[in-house]
Amino acid sequence: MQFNTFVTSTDDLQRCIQAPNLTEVLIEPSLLAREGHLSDEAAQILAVQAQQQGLRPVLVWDILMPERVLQTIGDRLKTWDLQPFAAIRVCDLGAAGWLALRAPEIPLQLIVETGNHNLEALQGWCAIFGSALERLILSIELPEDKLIEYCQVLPIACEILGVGPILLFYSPRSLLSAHFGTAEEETSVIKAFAAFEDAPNRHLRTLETVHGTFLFLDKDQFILDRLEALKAAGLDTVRLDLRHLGDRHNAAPSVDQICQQILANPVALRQSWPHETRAPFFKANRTTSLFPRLKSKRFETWRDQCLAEVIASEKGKYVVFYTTQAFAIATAKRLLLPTGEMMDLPADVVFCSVAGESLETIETEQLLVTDWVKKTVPGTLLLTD
Amino acid sequence: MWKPELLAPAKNLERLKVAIAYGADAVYLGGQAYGLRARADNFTQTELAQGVAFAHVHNAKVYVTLNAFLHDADFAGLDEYCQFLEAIGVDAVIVSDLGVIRAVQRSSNLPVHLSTQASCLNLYAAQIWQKVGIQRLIVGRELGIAEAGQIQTQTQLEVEMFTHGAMCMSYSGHCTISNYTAGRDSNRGGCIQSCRSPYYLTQQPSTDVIAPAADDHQIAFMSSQDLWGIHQIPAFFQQHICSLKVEGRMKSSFYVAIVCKVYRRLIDAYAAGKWCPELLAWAAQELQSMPHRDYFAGSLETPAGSDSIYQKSENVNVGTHQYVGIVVDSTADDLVVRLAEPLEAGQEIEVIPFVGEPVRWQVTQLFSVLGEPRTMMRQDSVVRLSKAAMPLQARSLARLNIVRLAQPAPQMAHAI
Repeated sequence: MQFNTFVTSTDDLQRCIQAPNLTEVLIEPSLLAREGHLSDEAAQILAVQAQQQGLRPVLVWDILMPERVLQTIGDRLKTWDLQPFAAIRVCDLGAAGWLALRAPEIPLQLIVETGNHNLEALQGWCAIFGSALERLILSIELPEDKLIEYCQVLPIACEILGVGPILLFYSPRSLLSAHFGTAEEETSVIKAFAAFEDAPNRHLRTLETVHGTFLFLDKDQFILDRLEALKAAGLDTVRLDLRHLGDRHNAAPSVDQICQQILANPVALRQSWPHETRAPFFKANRTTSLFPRLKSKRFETWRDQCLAEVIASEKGKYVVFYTTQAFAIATAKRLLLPTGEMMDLPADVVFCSVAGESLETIETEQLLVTDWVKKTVPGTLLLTD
Repeated sequence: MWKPELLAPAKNLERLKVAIAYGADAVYLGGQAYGLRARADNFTQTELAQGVAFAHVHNAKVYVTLNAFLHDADFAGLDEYCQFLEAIGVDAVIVSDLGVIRAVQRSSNLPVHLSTQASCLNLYAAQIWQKVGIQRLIVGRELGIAEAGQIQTQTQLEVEMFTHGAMCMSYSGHCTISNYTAGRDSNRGGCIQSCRSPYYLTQQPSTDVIAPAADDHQIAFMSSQDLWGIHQIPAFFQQHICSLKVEGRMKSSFYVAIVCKVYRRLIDAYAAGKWCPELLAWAAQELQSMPHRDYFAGSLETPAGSDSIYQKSENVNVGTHQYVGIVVDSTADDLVVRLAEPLEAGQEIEVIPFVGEPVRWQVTQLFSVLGEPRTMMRQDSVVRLSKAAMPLQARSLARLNIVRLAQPAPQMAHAI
């Protein structure tokens, strides 16, 4: 299991050389990367320098691109020498498609961090890209047991974020410049903090780059002290995203010491980490556990047995039903209240039309009027047995 | 002349029928699972079958959303569900997740429309999805019509675009605020719409509490204005966009009716060579009648800029007219209306027919469903309006017609 990290300078490269188990560096040009601020030339030079020092440079092309943007980028990228890059990592399938035509010899690393939370999808990507695909960058919303399973089952190397900011939101629109002025250069970044009304002490880091606006959680993902089982399962790469701890010229501050600490005492590293840490989905992803409680009980079980729904009632006077299917009066047996309470339909209920005529058979989408039935309110369902 | 399909949302059977009655060529809806509207009263299997049958009788199509990003455990029952959908004649499914696409293709012959959640934004991506075997691309809302047209021309895939409604500020499928701040998966139907909330925003939090220096103002800096594509109808035709989609599976029958009626008329007018400024003015006025978050053209012509943010502090909006209710029956003597809002004698109302101008009159008499005269009927009740007191045109009004107040609504907030 190796580490990788983002780099922006030769100082970063020097630290990476000293870092145990770190052989791969991620290079972000502003042209292609969400948070990149290297010029085209600087990115290519840095790749050559990384290669010369025995590191494996990976070009980060993680922006999403409407057609107009991809065309512009493609034109510019044609002038690049991509050979120094050992691999290219992409998020937009369009980038993968472009590379398949223009640089098919360079291995592909596919970012599947949003969605792609099932084996079927991951196997699908492997089938689509075949031998061109070098690695899948998996989602941190996957729990440990699934990560272990995927590392064991997938015919491809896998990577996971070990430590770093958790991206919450990626918009192509410029959302900060309206408030803080426009960035002057392509490589400029507007930085701000956003806070919810009810949690003003939670500072959500927010960036606007030439590619859009990004919002991050106020706590860092951290699983560096929980890697043993993943390592045993064959996890290939753990990413160390330290960009928010450094500056424009130091994207990997202290990465040499951090890597040493991961190997020596990762718990101490977590305890001394400069930001609060968490790994909210590492043990279990329960983000759907609320859904059953969000739904009224009546919908789940009873709607297919529903003959009609109460759409109006006036206490002591009447109830109005709207039928959802044709039925014989005799089959109407019970009422299900929105609260979930079930009660028998009173035996003496007479169903009438709006014109006041007593009915024996009922058509679908018909209004039925009865005398007042205690407890009935709009939303009550009329059911068969 | 070829026309693009008008595709409307259907929260339930009533909305499905309203959409088709007011001119939708197709509707999209969710079943009990696998979709992105977990809180909606999504269709049961019986209701799905009824909806498909109704739609097909009226020459409309039904697309079912299976557009959640699933975890392994969520796949339980999906194969059987796809077989059921195919058996009842569903016309296509809308899918985001490659795993779900593979499951659909393995278990059925249902055509697959790639959901906008997959953020297909360019030709190269489209070509990959084409190889996967999808029949239609619902392209990302960040794309312009000309770009979508290019994709259509070069792939010969059907290309569908959102034309009206609320917009995600984020790239669709790339927002996880709800996941990490509320424990609800926005890509499995749990979005809490955090982008609509006001935030404190600052560049230098000097204390633990972020607050703006000048005042205590909070900013809804991530809330998008609503999309409308009324001015772009000719471009949709020219670029051969096959389907114009209306957002809003959680919205009211009022919304569905007005949007369908407006876009139906615009599409038909353009096809008939009757496109004119007066028609656009009418369309704009009608769409302003409903709650909305200020309209703009999204990225249909040029990329959405920083002026596309809906910065009003309220996460609610006001239309020029208030929704009153829907006609649930029409007898020889009465229109029977289910009220979504209270109605008082003396108020002027408009009933919107499926085709033609609204029928407007002042309500002088209200009757309960038992025929008792009333001066006021409350929300969530049923009222009888005597046809004898209506203008002649009102005789042709029918079930599923929408009723709104004729006068501009007071400046009150309506939930969208």
